Amino acid sequence: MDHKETLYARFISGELSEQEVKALKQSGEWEELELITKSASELKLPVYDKAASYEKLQQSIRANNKVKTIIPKRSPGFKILAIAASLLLLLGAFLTFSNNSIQVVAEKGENKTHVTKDGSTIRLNAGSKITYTQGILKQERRFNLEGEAFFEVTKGKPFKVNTINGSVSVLGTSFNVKAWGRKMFVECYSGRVKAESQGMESVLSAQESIVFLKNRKNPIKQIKHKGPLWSQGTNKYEEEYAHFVLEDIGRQFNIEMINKSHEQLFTGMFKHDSLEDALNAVCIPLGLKWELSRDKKQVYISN
Amino acid sequence: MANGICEESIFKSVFLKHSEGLRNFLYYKSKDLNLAEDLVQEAFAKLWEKCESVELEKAKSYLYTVSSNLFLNKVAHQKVVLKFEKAPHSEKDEQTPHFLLEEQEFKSKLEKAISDLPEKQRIVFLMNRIDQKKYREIAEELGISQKAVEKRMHLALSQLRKIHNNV
Repeated sequence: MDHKETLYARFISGELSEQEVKALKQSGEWEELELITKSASELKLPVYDKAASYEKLQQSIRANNKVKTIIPKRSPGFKILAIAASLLLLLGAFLTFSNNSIQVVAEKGENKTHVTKDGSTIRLNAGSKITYTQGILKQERRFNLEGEAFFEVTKGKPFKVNTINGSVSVLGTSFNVKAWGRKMFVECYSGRVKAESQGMESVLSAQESIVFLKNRKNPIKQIKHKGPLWSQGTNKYEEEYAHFVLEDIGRQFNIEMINKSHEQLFTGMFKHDSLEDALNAVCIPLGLKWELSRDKKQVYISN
Repeated sequence: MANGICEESIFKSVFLKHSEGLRNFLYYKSKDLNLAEDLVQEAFAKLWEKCESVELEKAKSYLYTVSSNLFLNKVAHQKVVLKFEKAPHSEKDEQTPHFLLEEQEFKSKLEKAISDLPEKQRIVFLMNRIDQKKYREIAEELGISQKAVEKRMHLALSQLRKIHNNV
């Protein structure tokens, strides 16, 4: 029987044949195995505090220290080793310091401009976040984006922006990426960019835009503006679902939108200076009503 | 596609999901709890450093491989015994003191025998018994075939039966 070498393993997983069960019971092995496996599964390990461990990990990463390792027993050569190790540590500290991780967050209701070491400018729209690591040894400039940002890229190493829905690599240029929900919207203002999502890709030239939505790619469209309208205090839409527009208002003014799931298509714009004007600009043409809560933190949308 | 692990929230979820299983695995392997927990920290620090080149789906096997290698690189460690938490006594209180004594004796013999199992058998056995992992899952984490896991499990149980016969 070639199954014999896994017999006891299959006792645990319950994959024994009837004959095997019978044989084990007759020989008394069954009872023994039951006792051993049950007792073993009742063994308890010392408690592991995940949250505290994570906190510790974060601290050591932030401090750019190497995580503590076990210390070998001291030997005559210990001093020399120690000196060599501290030199290494200094080098490590230098390398990791010059290779640190950076996170920039624009809270809801604010925009933020960040300039990278190489002089590229990233303007984050409200509620968006960008993370990247900076290092002299990096082969390319790579950023992770949650939300929307406008990039003005200096010449140099390849420049790439990853979002949850796809990525944009720069071929030398300025462009805007908007990726909320399952949609990625890219506008290119100068130079060229390559946008990729779900295995599809498009190369955009200046004054072109494209939308990737779920598994679909819309045709490339011409645009007239020379930079993202949001950075000039305006959001503009062409046949956009109302709920996307309402979500944008929510992020822009740091307001929670209640019952925003309206499917009408909106064409038009809103400005960033007044919540009421923005709501009117969107709701009136769509025949929707809005109401602001007393604490001014929520807006209720109704038909 | 975007690489998620460099995103702190995703990195954190990977940590919360896998750190305990990894720590247990390293404890079974090294029998040294402090070392196991240090290695978990080290492995995750490495993962964070390499977050751009490790895909999210590969993170788990990366962690198991890296921490095993880190362990191998440590200076030879002294013989140690695997320790478990003192388990509460059986709930049934009608048991005789004699029975309790026997039970205690059996349990401590079992713990000793598990600790003395060859490393490969011990790891597989405890990952299944304590962490309740399926053979397929263990195979994936250790980078071996499911059949190999089952063989090790069988060998471990054959070994443990011996102590039982001596009780």
